[in-house]
Amino acid sequence: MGQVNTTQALPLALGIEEAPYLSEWQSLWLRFRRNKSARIGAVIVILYVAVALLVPLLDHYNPLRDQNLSARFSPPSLEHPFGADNIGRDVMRRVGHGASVSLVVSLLSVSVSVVIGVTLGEVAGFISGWTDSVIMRLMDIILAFPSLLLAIALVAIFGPGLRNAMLAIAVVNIPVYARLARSMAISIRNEDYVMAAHSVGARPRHILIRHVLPNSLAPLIVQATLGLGTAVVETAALGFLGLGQQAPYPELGKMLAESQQYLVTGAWWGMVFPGISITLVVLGFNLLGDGLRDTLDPKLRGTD
Amino acid sequence: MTRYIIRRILETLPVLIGASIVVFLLVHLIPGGPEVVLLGERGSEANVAELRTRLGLDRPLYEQYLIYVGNILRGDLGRSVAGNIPIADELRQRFPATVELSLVALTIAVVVGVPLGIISSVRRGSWIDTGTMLGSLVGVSMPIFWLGLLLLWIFGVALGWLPFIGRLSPNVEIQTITGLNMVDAVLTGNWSGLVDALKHLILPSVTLSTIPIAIIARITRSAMLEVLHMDYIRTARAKGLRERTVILGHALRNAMLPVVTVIGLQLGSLLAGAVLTETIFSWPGIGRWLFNSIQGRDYAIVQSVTLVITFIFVVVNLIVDLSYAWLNPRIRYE
Repeated sequence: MGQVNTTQALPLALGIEEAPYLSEWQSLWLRFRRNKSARIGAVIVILYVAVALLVPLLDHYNPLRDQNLSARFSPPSLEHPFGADNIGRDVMRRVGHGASVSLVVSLLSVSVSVVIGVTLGEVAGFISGWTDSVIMRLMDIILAFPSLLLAIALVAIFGPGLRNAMLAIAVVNIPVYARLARSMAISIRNEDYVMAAHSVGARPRHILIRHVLPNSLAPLIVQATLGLGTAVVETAALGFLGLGQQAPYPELGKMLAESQQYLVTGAWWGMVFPGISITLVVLGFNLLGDGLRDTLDPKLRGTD
Repeated sequence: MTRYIIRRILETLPVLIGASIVVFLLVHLIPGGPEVVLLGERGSEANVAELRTRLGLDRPLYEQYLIYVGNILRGDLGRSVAGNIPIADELRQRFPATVELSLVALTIAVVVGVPLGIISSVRRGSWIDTGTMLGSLVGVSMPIFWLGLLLLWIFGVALGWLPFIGRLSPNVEIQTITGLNMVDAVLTGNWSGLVDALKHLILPSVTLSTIPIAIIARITRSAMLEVLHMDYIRTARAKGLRERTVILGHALRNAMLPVVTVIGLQLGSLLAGAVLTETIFSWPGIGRWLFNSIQGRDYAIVQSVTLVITFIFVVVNLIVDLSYAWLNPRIRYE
């Protein structure tokens, strides 16, 4: 980030918002780099993804065999930087593996909600009429529930476990993307280029995929980034309530619940480190999402 | 306005009906069906058959749904598997604890969040503004169950200043009138009980208030910033009004609309957040009850608590909507 090449330095130095010779992508990248929260968020997210990808590759962890009673409640030290828990498991190791679980779960659940939500929303907004009414009333019903509560109820009924937790989180977040995609589709529906496509006889499916979807991408990317943060918290919340990942497999929320059982002994490290990890990851996604919004939405640029 | 109220209520009804269908169907989706829900996994075959006819589980689904709704409307939420106690009775008994916790948390959120937002907007760019914005960013990113554990450890375990289990110490009793311990203690003049109840409230309510504080402070700040460069603010200043009057009398009044809406909407999420907070602090409200019922696979309770919280959530949102329209006449005539 220290070196700035001359094509980008010039408009910066002249205080020009967008130099005419920059391509769309170049100017996006420039705006992104000038946005402080986007930068900090991106760094946190990249570090997180690196940890989540590398830990399972470099460390073959078998939670079923992980127990070391001589290390019980060891405070943070060189050997155990985050300390050890009530049965002597290394907290840092479990935080690392827990982080990759959160990444997988949140990526999968957000992908599922985005694909289903965007399809429903674009169809509803583009076709309108009774299809629109039916789809959106269904979304209203899901939104009537506090989202975490619905996720809790769904997992409680279908049975605890990581897969059901992921699906429940995906289901309760579908309306967020459906509503957004629908409003985008409605505003794009009457644009000239869509009319033009209509008039040359393009089929609705073609128009949806080639015109409406690409033009509603920016706000969807922002929402999905923020949604990843939400999904991380919701996964941890379900894990905390015993509805997500089951013992002895590591998961950040589950680790917090386990740490509460021995917190009175004064072993704070089992609770502090998983919590810091969740907070940092969510903070990263929130900052990145806010930064992307500022970068991608020219209307908001310059405002607070 | 009356027409608007009627329209909004009519729009809410299908949502409520839809939500009740979802909750009704949830139980039918359980592997084993609703028999398992009501008898637990202990029911013998004869029991199951008897129950099926008694509850009408052999009838068509839509008929069963109508019976279910009919029962709810008469205040009958069925019976729990474990204790075979009417769920409605237990709900009534546990509900005040959750209401008390949520209201105290919401009060803290308003008392802290609104002034923070106002000061940040007036002293924009100052350390207090930066601090508030950073704090609210961290506040919304921090899972409340972690914050709860953190506070429990610092103030409960390490410093030993505050109790962190339940609503009252074992040796303290407060006569039940409303079910809200603070109110009951005042009504009966039980001052030592009041102090004890307050002490128990601090950690869970502060935990529950963090996300609303962050959201309310942010919204207040941005609403104030929008209003502060309006012409009438300049006019008020030009007239020579004191800055205090300009901020609180002119700016805040006009910035309140979005703030009031957000405050109302927080009440719904507080009820859901209560599940986590009550679990941490062994708070005997409906959130902890839901948690215990999930552990005990008492699906009938899970079903009822979900329905009741959702119902409150929808009604609160409706009230917020109506008060918004009442405060802002432009909405009504759209």
